[in-house]
Amino acid sequence: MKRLIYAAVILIALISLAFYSHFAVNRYCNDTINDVQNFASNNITSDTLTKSWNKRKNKMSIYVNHDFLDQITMYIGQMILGDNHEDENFKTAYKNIETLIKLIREEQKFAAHSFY
Amino acid sequence: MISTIMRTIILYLTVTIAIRLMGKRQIGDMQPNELVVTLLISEIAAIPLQDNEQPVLVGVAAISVLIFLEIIASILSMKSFMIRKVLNGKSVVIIKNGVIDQQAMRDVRMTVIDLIELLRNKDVFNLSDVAFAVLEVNGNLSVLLKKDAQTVTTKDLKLNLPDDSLPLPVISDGKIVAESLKALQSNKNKLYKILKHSKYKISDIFLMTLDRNGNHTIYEKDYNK
Repeated sequence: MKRLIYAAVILIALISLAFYSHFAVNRYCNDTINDVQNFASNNITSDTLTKSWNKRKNKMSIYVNHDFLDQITMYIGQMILGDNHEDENFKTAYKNIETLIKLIREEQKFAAHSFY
Repeated sequence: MISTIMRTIILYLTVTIAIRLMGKRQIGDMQPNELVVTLLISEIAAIPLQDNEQPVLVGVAAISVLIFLEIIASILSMKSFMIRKVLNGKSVVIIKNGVIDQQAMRDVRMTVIDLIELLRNKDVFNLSDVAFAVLEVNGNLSVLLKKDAQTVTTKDLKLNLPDDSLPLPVISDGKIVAESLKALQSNKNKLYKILKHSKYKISDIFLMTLDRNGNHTIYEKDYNK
C-alpha cells in the first residue's frame, strides 16, 4: 500500500510537471516573440528587451536545453548591436530567434516524432 | 563549477531516493527488471552531470518515471503470476532427482563448467551429492542435497537445545545502544547488573553483545594499537 502511494505521488507529480512545463514554456516563448517583435517595431528599448529576456531565460532554463537559450541570448545581443532595424544582421538574428523559439516549442510538443 | 556541484548534489539525492524506493537488494539478488531500472538510472543520472546544457529536471523526471514503472511492475508481479513470469522469468530445474536436465541447461545457455562453478559456490563439490538444483531468476543456484549427503542437524540427533536468541550489540565503542536494549526488552539497570559481575567499565568495552537468554560476550577496547 505504501509503495502504491509512492507510485501515485510520483505519477501526479510527473503529470503536473509535464503540463506545467508545457504551458510555462509556451508562455515564455510567446512573451519572447512579442518582446522581439516590439523591439523590431521600436515599441520597447534594448534595455527592456535584455532585462525581460534575462529574467525569462532563468525560468526557462529549468525546462529547456540551455544551448537554445544561450543562442537566443547571442542573437538578441546581435539585434541590439545592429544600428538599423533594416540591417541584414538584424534580420538574420530576428529570423534565428524565431527558428529557435519554434524548435523549443517543437521539443515540448506531444508529437509522435518526438518519441523516436 | 558551483553549478556542477549543485547539479551533482541534486542528482545524488534523486538517485539515492530512487534506489531507496526500489528496496534494499544487492546487485546479485536483483530481478531482471530491477537490474534494468538500476542500470538506466545510473545512465540517465550521468547525462545532466556530463552535459551542463541539459536541464537537471529532465534527468530527475526520467528517473522518476523509471521508479514509477518499477513500483508498478513490482506491485503487479506480486498480484499476478503471469506478469511475474513475463517480467522476471521463472526458475529452471537443472538437476532433478540427481539427473542433470541437459535440455534445461541448453535453454538457459548454461555450460557444465558454469553448473559446477555454481555448485562450488554452494560448497557442493560432488555432483552426485545433488538431488535437486534450481536456477533462480536472479541467477543464483538453489541446491537440495541427497539425504546421505546432508549435514546432520540437532533435529536428526533428537537433541533438546534451548531456543536461539539473536545477540544484539548493547555496548558499542564505550556507549550503550538503547535501541538494542529496548529490542531485548531489557534496560540499563539489568545491563549494569551484568557488568557488575564482570571486571569491565562501560568506557573500556569496545563491543558487548547480549541475547534474550542473558548470554553475553564482551570485547575489550585495545588501547595499545
